[in-house]
Amino acid sequence: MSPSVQVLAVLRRELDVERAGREVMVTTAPYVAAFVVLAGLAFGPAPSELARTAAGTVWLAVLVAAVTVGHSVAGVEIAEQSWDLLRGLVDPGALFLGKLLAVWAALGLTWLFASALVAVLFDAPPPGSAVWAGVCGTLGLAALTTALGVLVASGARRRGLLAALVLPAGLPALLAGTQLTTPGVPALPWAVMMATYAAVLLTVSWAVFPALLEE
Amino acid sequence: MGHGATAVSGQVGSDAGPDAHVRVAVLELAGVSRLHAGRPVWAPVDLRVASGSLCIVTGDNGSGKTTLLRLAAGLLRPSTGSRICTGRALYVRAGAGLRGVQTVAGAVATTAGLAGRRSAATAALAVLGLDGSATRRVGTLSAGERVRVTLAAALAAQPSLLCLDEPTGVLDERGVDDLLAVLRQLRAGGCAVLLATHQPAAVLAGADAHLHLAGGRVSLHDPVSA
Repeated sequence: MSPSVQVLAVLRRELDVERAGREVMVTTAPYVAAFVVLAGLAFGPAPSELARTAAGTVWLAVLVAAVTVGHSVAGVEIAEQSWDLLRGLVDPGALFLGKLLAVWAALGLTWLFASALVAVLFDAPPPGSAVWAGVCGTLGLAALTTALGVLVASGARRRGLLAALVLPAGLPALLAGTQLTTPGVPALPWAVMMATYAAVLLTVSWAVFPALLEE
Repeated sequence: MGHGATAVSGQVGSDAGPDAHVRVAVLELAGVSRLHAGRPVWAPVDLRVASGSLCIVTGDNGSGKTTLLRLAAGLLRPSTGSRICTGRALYVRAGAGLRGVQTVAGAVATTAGLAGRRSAATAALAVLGLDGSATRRVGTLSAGERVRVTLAAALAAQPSLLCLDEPTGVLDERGVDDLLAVLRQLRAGGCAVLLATHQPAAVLAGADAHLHLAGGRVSLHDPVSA
């Protein structure tokens, strides 16, 4: 079985489980919707105020949702005792990439959902550079969440630490994503920063993932 | 088999005889031990497990059966010694391993798919008599039914080494018979099985070896005399 086929098998499993239980969607979508609406009430309701906070609201929603999504990487698997069988069937590299793709899809949809809500409710359509931020930023956060999701879930005393680790480590995505989503801001420096952030997190997470699986 | 400084030094399943060409070693543990809180769970173990063999593992609660099985499956790293395993090794705790939100058919197919054997799922469900439960969610099954579903997934995935942790505790008489039938089918395909249980009488008859853990040592017995 080639590595790419194994990666796709892991991704298919993740999608099958999500389709059967809709756990990530049910926990994330209402949370993001409530976050955006409450942020609109807190920062607004004047249209000028809402427009100024629109980009930050999108990326704060994505960053906070990453914590919720992170629990699906290994925490739920360990709670249901399915993690051991999964580890036995799949090589660490394929497990990382399959989980990464699933988390990336979840965060990408979360970003799309939050962006659409903010565009409508805040009357603040995002600029074109927001797409680059969405692709690279959610990839970087997915790599971070995948690695930290396993790290935190593998130790009983670490399970409450996911938010404490993901939120500060996701700060570059929050900053660059907000700037790239704000109309009129020069995109290039922030686009480079976002791409670098995603590349570094992807590389580091890939490198440490096998060690995170070891007991 | 010789007993020296190690707690157990032995071989499970002979690689001599008429079928020697297929009875190759699946698992080799050499001087293997595992530390918990700085102390070894048991004295170092040398063990060679041949393909198609069945080894029953017994011992009191806390004697280290699960540690031995998880180490054999490659989930735990040995603190000392080395582990060599050819092919895929799976560790399955009684009835666990599958996601509760999936249907029986979906969970078995998904698990088999991870081994590249999705098409084997239907036959495995039939062997375990699970055709009628195919659309039920795994999370709604009884403990015994979950063991059967997990066995179907393991059968479909066709590992080289299957480490079953306490599968018999929640099974009724028919369930044990089905377990033995599945084990026969797995072993016929070359899969070696390590099976930890507190009810050894039900499974010792067809076993090749019996490992007993007690007092921080692992000893190898003839299953017939146990």
